[in-house]
Amino acid sequence: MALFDKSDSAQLVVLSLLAEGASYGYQLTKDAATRSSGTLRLTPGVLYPMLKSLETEGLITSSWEEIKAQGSAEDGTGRRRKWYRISPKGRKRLEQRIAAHRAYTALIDTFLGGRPQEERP
Amino acid sequence: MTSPLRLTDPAPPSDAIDAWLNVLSALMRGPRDEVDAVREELASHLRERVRDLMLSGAGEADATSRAIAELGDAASLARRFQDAIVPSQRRSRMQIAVLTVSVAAAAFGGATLLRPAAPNTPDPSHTAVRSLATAAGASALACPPERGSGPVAIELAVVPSLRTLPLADAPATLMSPALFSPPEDDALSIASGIQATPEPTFTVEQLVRLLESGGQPVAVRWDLLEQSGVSRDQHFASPGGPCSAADLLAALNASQEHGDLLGLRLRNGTLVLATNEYFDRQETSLITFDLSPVIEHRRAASIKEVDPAEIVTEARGLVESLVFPDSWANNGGDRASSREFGARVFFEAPARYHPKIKWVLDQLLSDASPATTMTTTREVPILAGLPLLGTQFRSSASERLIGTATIRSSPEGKVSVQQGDRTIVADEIRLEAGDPTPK
Repeated sequence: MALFDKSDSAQLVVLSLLAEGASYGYQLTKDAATRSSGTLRLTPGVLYPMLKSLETEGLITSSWEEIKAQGSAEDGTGRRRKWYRISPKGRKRLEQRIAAHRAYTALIDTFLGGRPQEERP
Repeated sequence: MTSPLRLTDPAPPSDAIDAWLNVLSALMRGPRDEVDAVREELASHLRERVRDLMLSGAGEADATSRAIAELGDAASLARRFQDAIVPSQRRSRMQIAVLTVSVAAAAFGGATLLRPAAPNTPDPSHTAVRSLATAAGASALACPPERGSGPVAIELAVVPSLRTLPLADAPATLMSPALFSPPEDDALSIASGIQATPEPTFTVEQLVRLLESGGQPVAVRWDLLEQSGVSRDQHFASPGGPCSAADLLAALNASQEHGDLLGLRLRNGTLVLATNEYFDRQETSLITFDLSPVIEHRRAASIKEVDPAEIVTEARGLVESLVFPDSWANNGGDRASSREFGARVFFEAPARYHPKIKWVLDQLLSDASPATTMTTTREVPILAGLPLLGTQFRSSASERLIGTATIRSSPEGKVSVQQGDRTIVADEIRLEAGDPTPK
């Protein structure tokens, strides 16, 4: 499994996942792994500070949701989970990042596409 | 039927998780509610991760340690969170400072404004340093090279305000010498003088025989060694080449899972080989540090109100995460513990920990010390002539200064400029590019 901790690419992945719907930290790590068939690992030690940073920049927003423990009393307080949502500013940033990524990929492809085929003996 | 596992409420192996989160919280700076939110979020993550690992077949203890390990080192994570929270605050302050200088530069036609802190700003000296540094950068824009005759070195000496004066009286070390008792033991120097015949491997028994060949009686706590999984005929690799008994002991330790398993002491003329745990329990003593200088420094350097208790807790957490981390009671260990009281922190720890604890805390002091004697020289690209305009109560007076001047902040939030025996004190000092020829 590849260790994935390049912050730029990780930001792109996180913003993309959040553009599909609200999520929370642990779910994001699982979604990244599932989507990439396990080749992409969003390490929690990188993910959570990055979420904080994205929130500080106003690219995502957060809210807490209380999770009722199964079997607990109705009025009992359970754990809380922090949900993240992409903000309009975050969507705009994501669009810019996607455009930049595609332009970069297309640029590199022009070189790879022009690579001469190996001559057959 | 409800599963007995109660998947929506995983039973937390909370001790290890709480201990790790305690360390992280202690290492994090910032508003308490921010730190608590991070802690709660990571606690939720860890519990869900432990649940999933247990569902995939891992035991509870293994799942817990794996989940914690995935988060990495607490100190690094605390730093990353710090970077995620703090830069925005720093950026805001810097933008304000740059804006102030830029506006002033525009208003005074390419001049540079040095503005001391307002009287109620907690740290006039540091604010002045920041302003000077920013002003130096801004003046490069304000005074294009073609207008001047090249850079002039100005010495910026910052004299501490009254707020930082206690640092000058701080002891050279944070630790009371009477309470600091490092292990007084010649055992390792004796072992260093006993040379071994080079062999690729040695047994523990051979190491003991080698120690005995030095002429000193040797006692070995074989019972403790065997309890720790070290047997007489256990082989370990030699460090290679000519080596001493001390080198072999280090190689033996390196071959163990815990690199500091065995220790050597000189007791009543006898070399005693036993586990470090055994020695640690005999050599545990109480030491204390007064962190007042560090608190004073932080208070002087911060524009916000500083809670001394937070700083003491932070320093304590730093020690517990850097000095034999697993052994502290807060981290689930049983060899060392710590307590706080006001600005003091008490450590009950083995003597071999003491120098390391002292070193860590001394770094905080060395971080604090420069404020007392901070003097820096910067290259400032301005004209050779350096006219100064002092303004006070909206009145102003022009002064002309050529050459090196010392600029200080005063406790009242004023700035003084000194050249030789001449001193100008003002609320605000503006440096203007002028005619380099003295009038």
